[in-house]
Amino acid sequence: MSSNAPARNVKGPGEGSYQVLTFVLGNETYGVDILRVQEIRGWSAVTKIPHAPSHVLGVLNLRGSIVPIVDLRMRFSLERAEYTTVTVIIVVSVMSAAGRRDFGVVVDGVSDVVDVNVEEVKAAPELGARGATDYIRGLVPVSERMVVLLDIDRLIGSELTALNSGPTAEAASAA
Amino acid sequence: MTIDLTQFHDAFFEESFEALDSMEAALLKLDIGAPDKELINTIFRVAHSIKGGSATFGFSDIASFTHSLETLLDELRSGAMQVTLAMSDLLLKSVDVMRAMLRAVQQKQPIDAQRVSDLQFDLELMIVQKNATPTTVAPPAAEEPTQPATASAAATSEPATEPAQEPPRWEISFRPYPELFARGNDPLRMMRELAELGQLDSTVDVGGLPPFAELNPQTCHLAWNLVLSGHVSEASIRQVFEWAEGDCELRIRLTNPPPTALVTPEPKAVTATEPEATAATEPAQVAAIPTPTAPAAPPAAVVPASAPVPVAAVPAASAAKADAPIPAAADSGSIRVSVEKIDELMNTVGELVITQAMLSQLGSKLEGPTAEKLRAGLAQLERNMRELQESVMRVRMLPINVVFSRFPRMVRDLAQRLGKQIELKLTGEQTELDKTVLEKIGDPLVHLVRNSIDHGIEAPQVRTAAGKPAAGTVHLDACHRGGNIAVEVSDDGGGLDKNRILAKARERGLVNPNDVLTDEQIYELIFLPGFSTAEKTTDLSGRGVGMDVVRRNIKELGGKIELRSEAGKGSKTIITLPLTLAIVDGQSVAVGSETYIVPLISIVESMQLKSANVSRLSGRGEVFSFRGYYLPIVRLYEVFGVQPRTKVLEEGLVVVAEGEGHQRVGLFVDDLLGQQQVVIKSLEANYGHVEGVSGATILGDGSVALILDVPGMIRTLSVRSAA
Amino acid sequence: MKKRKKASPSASRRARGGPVSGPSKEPSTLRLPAECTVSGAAALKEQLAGLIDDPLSVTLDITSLQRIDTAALQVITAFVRERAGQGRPLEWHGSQPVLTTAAQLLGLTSLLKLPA
Repeated sequence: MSSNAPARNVKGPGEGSYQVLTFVLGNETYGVDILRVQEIRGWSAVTKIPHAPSHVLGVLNLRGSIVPIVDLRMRFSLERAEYTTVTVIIVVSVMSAAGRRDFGVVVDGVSDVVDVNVEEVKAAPELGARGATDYIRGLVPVSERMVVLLDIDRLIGSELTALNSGPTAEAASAA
Repeated sequence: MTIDLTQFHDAFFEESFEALDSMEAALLKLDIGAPDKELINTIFRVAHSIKGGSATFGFSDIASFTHSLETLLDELRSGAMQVTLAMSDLLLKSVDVMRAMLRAVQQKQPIDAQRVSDLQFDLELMIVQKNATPTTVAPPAAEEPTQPATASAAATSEPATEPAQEPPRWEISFRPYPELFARGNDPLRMMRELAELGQLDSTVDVGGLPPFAELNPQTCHLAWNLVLSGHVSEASIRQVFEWAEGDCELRIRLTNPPPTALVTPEPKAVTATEPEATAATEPAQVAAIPTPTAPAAPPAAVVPASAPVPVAAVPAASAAKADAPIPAAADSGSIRVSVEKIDELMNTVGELVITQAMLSQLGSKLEGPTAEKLRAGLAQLERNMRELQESVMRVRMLPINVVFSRFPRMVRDLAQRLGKQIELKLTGEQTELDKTVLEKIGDPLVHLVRNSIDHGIEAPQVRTAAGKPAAGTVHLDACHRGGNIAVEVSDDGGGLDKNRILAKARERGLVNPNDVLTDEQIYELIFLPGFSTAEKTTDLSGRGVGMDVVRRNIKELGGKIELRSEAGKGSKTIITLPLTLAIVDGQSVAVGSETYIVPLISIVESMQLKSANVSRLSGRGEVFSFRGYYLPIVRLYEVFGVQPRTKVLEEGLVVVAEGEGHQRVGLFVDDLLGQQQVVIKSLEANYGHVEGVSGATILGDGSVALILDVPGMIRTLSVRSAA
Repeated sequence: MKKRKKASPSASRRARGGPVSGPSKEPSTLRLPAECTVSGAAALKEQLAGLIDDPLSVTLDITSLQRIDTAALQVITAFVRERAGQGRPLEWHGSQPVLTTAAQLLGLTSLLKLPA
């Protein structure tokens, strides 16, 4: 039994474990709640949106809807990588103040789906300004690696609502 | 086993609102001096039906109020009271109150009891005080209405015009569906109404009645064969059952068409007053199985044109008057469909169009004899798709009359309030537009009409002093024009006062004192936020929030608005709208590796530039000359941050595009790729609003192309360059 | 089978059986409410169901009746029909034009054995 307290604001079914899709980005492995993953697809050319932040690459047609594509490397201020045939896009649904929105996140590659036990999740170390790691739910060891569990709503959602409207953005990001 | 009646509330509310609309329309048409019997009957029937329905559903407040209303209308109907202006006003107010009550109940809000009881008191008072003067209204509705005003000499004689002739005999088979009760209908009510029209003989059919133990008491299992004798038109009979439309099977048959020889010859009367009746007579006799016609269908008692027509056939006069149908006509050829179903259908069709475009594109890349056949098949598919798309779009289209019909009442009330005399002219009401556009066009039009009445049309004395008729005309017109809809609001009032507008603008610092503006530019000033030249704001318009909001609403619909005016003569506002919000006709343009769609409604012309036409003006940047003006050049690759094929103006093309108020720019692109109809996909659903972009679409190759918002782009750019 | 004191024309048919009649030998009476309409039709049916097998004649008391509609009359019609098949009559107590008119308009006068 780990002596660490469970990470703060771990959501999820709460029963004891939930499933997480893990993926690789640079040297790190990350995980998102599998229930939020809509689809995984390969890379295709996006249509640019004018005046978008640099990590929003553009939009793609995903089964008839227009979905924005975010490059997580750039979001995490990692070096930008080449987009190759093995580059993968994970389509996730994000809950924001405006309701559900779908986004595609560009990652290096997708790994396994793992079961995460709520009790094993450790708190992320505080790094200076609190806001920077708000989107990290916690860390969990999975076969000798540390998987960084992401809160996809905080990672993508609040920032993109900030993009598009004034007052609501403040309200949303203040949440 | 009890049916939960609440599931039928929605239908009741919908039908009641519609019925109130038709009651209002009938009241507005009512000629106080010579009121039309059919109109009065319609009005009565509405009150009666709403009363019954609300009683069934337990809405006792509404039932009680409508009961008082019905009592008054009954007096009117029987001729015991006359229509007066005061009564007409009271009745119109009742419509408002009933609407408010229904809405309150629908939204589970409290009813404004004071308002209701006040009005109810007025109604009761009027009933009690009923005028004792003999009425000019025709005798009870048992016979088909005979208009005293209409010429037929025999009309003024006793209502039973052809004593020797047997009255028509109608056989009616009325077979309700089980849910008839739950929808607030009661066959007893209908029988009562029929009994008022003529002599009713009722035979019940209990064949469908289950054994007592199995009977669900809230479902109807009885049916009837009725015989109605009397000078009644088929249309009147159908109207009795109109609230049960869709909940029953109804068959009406005339069993004794009258003989051709007639007793009293009235040749003159015939031709003068009944051209419609005679023309339509032949089929009328066969009027058997439900072939619904407009409410003005002449009664089947009318005889073939050659013989003199019995006066009982008279509703031609009322037919002429009731020609613009009171909307609750018996039209059993339609069904109600939820908006969601239609939207889904449109989405699916939109997806089909995209898929078909993809296939076509793939097909164009194939080789060989089979490829030829495939391409031919795909071309056929494209034609079919286009037809399908148009058909589905038409499903969602409704005549603009849905919106126009609001206006007679509004104009009447407004004119009264402001002490002006206004004549409202409506043309092109049958022009159809997409339901979504229709829903949003109402408010802007209301604002424009209010403006015309408030600021445009002068007071009657002023008008007569100017040699104009005392009553001003406000004209609403709609028509299809070049693939779009044009809606015009015009008046013959005083027109826009340019000097006053200019002065106000200068006063507000919106315009420099030395600037010279063209007429058009002056009128444009009106669209600036907070602008109003009204001396005092009435509570209607002149609050200064008007025209800019109107323009924004029109813009959101993908349309544009312009003003024209002539001092002393009047003003005209022209709104141009696309036919639908879901699809846009666009010109594809290439900028670098990206494709953009420019809506055709914004395009004036496309051209290649010659260096001779291009200049640099200080303070305005790059411009080119076009039809005598200098227009700014917008390099799209800069706007969108894309690498273009060429940055040399002469090597690309310029699309002359128009924004609001004749602001024009030249959009510099690499190439033109062709015109097509594209399905608009929302960018905002997942991403958000982007300045200069109104949406996106999916091209044949599956990639996304942005649709430009030309007016928005122009506005942003001018704001930026002004900064 | 016991003989009944209040014989009715179709007494012989009662011999067919069914639940023993209730303790009282008075004919059962059901008083219709002032408002006898579709919203109360289920309740009306339930009340009548209690009387459906009553071997004596059933009386409907309409002295309080002010309003009646087709749904209520349908229930009563079904009731009457059922009992008529077993020779059990229905009687009316009181007289109300609203009922007579309604029955006439709906063509139910003879079925309900109302005075014409």
